[in-house]
Amino acid sequence: MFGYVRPHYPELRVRELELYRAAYCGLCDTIGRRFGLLPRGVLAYDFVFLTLLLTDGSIAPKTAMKRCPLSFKRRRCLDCGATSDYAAALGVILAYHKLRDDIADEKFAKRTAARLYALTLRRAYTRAATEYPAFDDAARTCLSELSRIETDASQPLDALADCFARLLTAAVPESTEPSRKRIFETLLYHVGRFVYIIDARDDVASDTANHRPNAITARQSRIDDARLGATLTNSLNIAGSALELLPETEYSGILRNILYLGLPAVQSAVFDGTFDKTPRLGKRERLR
Amino acid sequence: MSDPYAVLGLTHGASEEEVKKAYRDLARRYHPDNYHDNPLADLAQEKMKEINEAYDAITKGGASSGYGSGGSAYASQSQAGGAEFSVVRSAINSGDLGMAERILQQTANRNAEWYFLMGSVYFRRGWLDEAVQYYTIACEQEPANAEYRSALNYVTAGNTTYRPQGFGAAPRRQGECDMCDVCTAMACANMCCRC
Repeated sequence: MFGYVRPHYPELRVRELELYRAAYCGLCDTIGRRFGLLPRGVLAYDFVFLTLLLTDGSIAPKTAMKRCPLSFKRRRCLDCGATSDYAAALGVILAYHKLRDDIADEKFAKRTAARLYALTLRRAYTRAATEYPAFDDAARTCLSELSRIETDASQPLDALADCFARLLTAAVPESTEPSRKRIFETLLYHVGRFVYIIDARDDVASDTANHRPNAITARQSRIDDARLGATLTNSLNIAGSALELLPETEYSGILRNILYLGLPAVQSAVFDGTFDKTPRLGKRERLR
Repeated sequence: MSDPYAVLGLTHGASEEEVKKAYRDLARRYHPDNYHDNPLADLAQEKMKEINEAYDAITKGGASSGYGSGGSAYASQSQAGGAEFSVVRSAINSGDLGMAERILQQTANRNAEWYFLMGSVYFRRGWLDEAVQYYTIACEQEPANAEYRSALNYVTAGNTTYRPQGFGAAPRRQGECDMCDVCTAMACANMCCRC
């Protein structure tokens, strides 16, 4: 379910690309520091977006050089303080719940792999969940509701996407100032809605081949790409209008790139079947 | 009131041209058209008011000029519908979607307006695909109604709303060609033609 909320690299400024890379490595470093080496595997673009969105952009970005355990090279890491810790914990919680889902749904090989990884994540998850119990509860209720109504063909696609979207809105910290909180919630609701629908659309081909139920093809009314495209564009319009209401920060350029260029690029790639979850890009574009 | 130059994102001593440009850009960004039926429309309206005030304070225009901040979408509509529907409209405007939906569910008279209002509730909630279905039924039942038609057109057009400069067009994909490519090809072809 992860990895869709990414920037469109060719349109990022050089300084923004550096900052985005630093944010990516910084989040990985935070997960490593707080939860250990193995949970670093939960790192996903989506949580980098969440960090950059929720962090206080009025403070100048603070970076430091850290050693990467994967490449053994020194990398520039962005430290967003409490927001980094928060995004790292949310990533661990969400990844753990996703693994539990996989254990319930997948076939033997994938189920065993999910079980093993869930086992290694268990300690990190317990720690993250005790720190942020509200988000853990939201994740559990929303995902169980989702798996309950996913099999019911009479439920509209919007109801399914709503479950996942509400889960993302739970990521907005309670302490946020009310009007700012509303903006974040609207933005994350529509990003969540986009991610759910695009993930379901991405799985259509493999689900059909494996005779598995799919959120889009299992609906009562037939949903074609034109209808999906229109509804996704509307979601991105609303998410964009919410982003414009936030004050200008160091990260605005990256966030705009993700919403206005990155997500539409992901959408068209998923629609024509060229989307690659683990992109093998050229050396200059590669995110290390 | 806060510093009008800061509101427009300028420093003191900015020229008239710069003020106009900044104002125009911000007014385009927070224009009510971009926040049509949007749950954040009130925040955009506030921003718009701030910008208008700042612009007036700098240009010393006094009376409010420039773009209007736009009324709410439903208040101004005079409708033939019953008292129930006007309650629903005001509930939608005030953001009380739960109440609006409850009243609509209890209504037995499911005419075009009912479908339209149900669509509006879904749109505000973010169930955009359902909203399209309901607007479509409303338009089928009353094809002449401009309000229903414009709501349906808005959600099915699939147009992107305001984008800041540099984020306008969808990213260019490999293999596509634009005007520059055509010009370059012509120039190259021209070189081959010379003898």
